[in-house]
Amino acid sequence: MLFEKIQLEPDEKVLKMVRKHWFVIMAELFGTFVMLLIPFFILTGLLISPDTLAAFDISLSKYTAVIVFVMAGWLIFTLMAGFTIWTHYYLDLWIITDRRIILIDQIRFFNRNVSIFRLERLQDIEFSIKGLIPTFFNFGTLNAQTASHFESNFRSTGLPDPRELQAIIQKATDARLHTLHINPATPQH
Amino acid sequence: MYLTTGAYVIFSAILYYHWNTYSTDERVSRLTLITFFVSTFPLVLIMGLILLTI
Repeated sequence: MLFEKIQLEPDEKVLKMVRKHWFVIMAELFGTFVMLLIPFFILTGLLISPDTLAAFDISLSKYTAVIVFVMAGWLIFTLMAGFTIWTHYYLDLWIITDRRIILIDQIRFFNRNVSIFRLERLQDIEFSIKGLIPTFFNFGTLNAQTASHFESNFRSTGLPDPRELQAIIQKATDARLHTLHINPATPQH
Repeated sequence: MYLTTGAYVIFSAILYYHWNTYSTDERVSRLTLITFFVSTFPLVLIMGLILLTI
């Protein structure tokens, strides 16, 4: 499992784990659902208007096995596409701990970015909610800038309640800076 | 049929690997994999049976 690989530091607490908003996955899966129904629509259309087939002297009953075979193949590939979307959604993750932010970006199968930056290096965090649907469902983009030369800026779209996330990260950053200020001996790694 | 079966087997292995390695919740992984196999394996069987009967 993932947490065995990330290896949280001793006493490091996970404050929040965030995935993209449900609307994002629903919008993507809707396309797959429509694709899943296409052969049924075609078949229904042919059954409703048998004259079309009769014009070409084709009888559906003669090709039942072929139709079922093709439909099964179509459904398998569509389901595989649907499970790919679900996998990318679920494995795409922001983990906010009391010391750092871990950003896992599952781009494709075998294409995965894991970025980690420490809260004390966080310089700026901003969110944006653009458009009617994101405003209505409360999801948006979160941008995080760090002071480090080695870490780049982080950006993630479609995150739920970005306002709350910004507040959690800001609060955790303040607490972390306070801890380091009181006890500078705390390892910064 | 061979192409579909090959693609299905490779995809299943990739899916299993990703969920087993990168998931944060064992229950969700199990549910996803079970749902995948329950929904797709009968379709592969149907394709195989049709091929045998034709």
